[in-house]
Amino acid sequence: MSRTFRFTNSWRQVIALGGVAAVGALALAQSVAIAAPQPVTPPAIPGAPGLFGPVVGAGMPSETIKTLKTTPDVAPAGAAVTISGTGLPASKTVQLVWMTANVRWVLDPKPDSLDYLGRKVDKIAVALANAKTDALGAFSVKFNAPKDFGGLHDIYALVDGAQVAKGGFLLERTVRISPTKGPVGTPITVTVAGMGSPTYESVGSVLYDNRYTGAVSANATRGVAVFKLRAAGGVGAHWIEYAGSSHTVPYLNMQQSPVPWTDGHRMKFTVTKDAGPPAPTLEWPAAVKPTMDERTTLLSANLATSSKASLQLASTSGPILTKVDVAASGLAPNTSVALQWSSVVGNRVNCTGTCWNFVNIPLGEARTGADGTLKTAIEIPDGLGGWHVVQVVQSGQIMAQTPYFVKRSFVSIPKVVKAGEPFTVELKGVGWTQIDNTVAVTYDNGYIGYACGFNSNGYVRIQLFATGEPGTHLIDLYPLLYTQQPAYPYSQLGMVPLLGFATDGPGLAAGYELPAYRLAITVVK
Amino acid sequence: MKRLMLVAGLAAVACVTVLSSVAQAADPPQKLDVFLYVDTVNGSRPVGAARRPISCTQTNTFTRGEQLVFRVWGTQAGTGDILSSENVKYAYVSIPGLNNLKLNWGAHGAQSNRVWFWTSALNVPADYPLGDAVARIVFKTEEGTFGRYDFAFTVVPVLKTASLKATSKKPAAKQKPAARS
Repeated sequence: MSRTFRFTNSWRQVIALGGVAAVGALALAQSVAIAAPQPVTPPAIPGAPGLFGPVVGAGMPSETIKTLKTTPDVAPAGAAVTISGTGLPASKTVQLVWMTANVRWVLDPKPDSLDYLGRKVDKIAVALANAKTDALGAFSVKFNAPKDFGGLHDIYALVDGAQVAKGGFLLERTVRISPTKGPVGTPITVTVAGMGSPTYESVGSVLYDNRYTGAVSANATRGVAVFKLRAAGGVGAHWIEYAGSSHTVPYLNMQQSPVPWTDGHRMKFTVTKDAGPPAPTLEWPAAVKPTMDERTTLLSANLATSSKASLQLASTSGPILTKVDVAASGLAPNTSVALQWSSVVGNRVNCTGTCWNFVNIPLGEARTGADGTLKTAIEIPDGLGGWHVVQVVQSGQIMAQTPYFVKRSFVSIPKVVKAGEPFTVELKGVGWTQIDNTVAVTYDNGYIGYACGFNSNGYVRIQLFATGEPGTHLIDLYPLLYTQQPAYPYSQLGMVPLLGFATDGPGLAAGYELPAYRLAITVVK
Repeated sequence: MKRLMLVAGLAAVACVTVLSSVAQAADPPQKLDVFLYVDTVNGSRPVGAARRPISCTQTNTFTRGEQLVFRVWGTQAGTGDILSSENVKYAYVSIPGLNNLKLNWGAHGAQSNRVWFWTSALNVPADYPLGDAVARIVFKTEEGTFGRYDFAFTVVPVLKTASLKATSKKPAAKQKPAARS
């Protein structure tokens, strides 16, 4: 049963941990060798449209293919559309299929990191409607343009599984903001529908008064992106441009590209007054069920092969210094056990060889009851954020382990700063993988740089300067994908603010809950 | 020992057979009588769209109303002879929903740099389906051999606003001409 819990650092424990670390290193080498990048199934995003129909075969082209008439053939989702054909086989059932795609993020899960490798597009055919040709081989059917990825969609009429006619439809992109006026700091919701699945249609960029704010994707949400900005700047009109992009930044002559329908949308927001800086808040992503089982620092090879012990934590995520109740069973009775935290130490700077290592942090000792159970509590270390593992060690062997996600937390920002003076923003619990080692910083919606928490063990102290006219100025910190690799066509979205982080980001599938920080200062003369 | 060798030999043969079958299934060899090269360029006489600043440049994306020109070069595999009106019985392009387009043999380019090849022009109909289309190029030689090549191109709409969409309903202010010095 429950026993006392205290921190110790005895030599025995150090030796035992050293042995565990050695086993861990060996297991890591094996795991790294077999790890492979993989497209990950996107989690179900609340409110996001699903596939509008069943996936079916696209059929094979017949020797002669007719054309279908689609009216209108350029429209946004929801529009009423009529599609018709003539000269087809008479009195036959016609299946109409809509060509589209599924898009998945590609991640490379490793025991000591999680790398972002881009996205994978799989083309699919979806059943759109059925019809029957008349005695002359004609048909006509109505449908509503589906909520789907935007851009061009081929439509095929299948008879007996063969493509007998071909049509097409351009699902238009729409962008709107709400509200359209309010004081400085007003959250502005931007809703985009019809982002595309191909590379050059899959990324949008936001400019605020011609300053680059960040990038948006809609891979897991079938082309629909809903995200927030905050109204910045002086009283008066400000312009938000949602620009078509290919590689993270605006493609300014998209109208000359082969995909001109992804060109920019520009919307006006009116700042009505400066009511002072809003209080600091964290905006968390949608609550989703992860679809990936891999967790950094979790190595099944580390477990004692004979162990039948199990370990449960009262919570599976929280900020640093969270107290978490621990329960275990199946351990040797009436013996001392050590609890430890599996983490890493190192950095990626000028990295050419081994750049970081596993480390174990003692969480304390406890004693099992006569029935082999354990009840105690631990405190989450003040260190790196992200996925870690709590382990129960008995007789030098890891008997049980379970993962825990350390959420980012906010420490401080000054309220008032003189123009031209420096100030700092402090955070804790920043992680180390390509998904969570960095935050992207915007000042009045202009992207100014990034800050990394790996080398400083999760503690981030961002050095900024107060600029602009006296009044409220906004500092927003967004999740960022720490990569400029690999090469085209998978290079989108690296090293910039991920404005759509709440509903579309590679980390969601792996359980990374990464927030945006909404901060502000008052600049005075 | 003999039996062992027999088993090993059979296993080796089986292995080679399997490997061979896999290779054939993955990439079956195909004997071609005619080699074809196909590309498309934008024609200089579109009937339903604005003329591009530069004509006869390679592209496979066309708006409705633009002029699409197929260009084809061919060779007889057996003889190496270039396909021309002298050894071709007929040649055409088949496009879904449209009548076949006859390919014509002729000289093109500047007088000092004439190049002979096959061409056929299509003014993309104003109601042609958007998206990808596959054109099939077919040749029959006087010897009775055939060449066939499928070439994909994309039809895109003429968009009314191929520029920024502003929500402001007020017309943009006229820009004052810059003062001349």
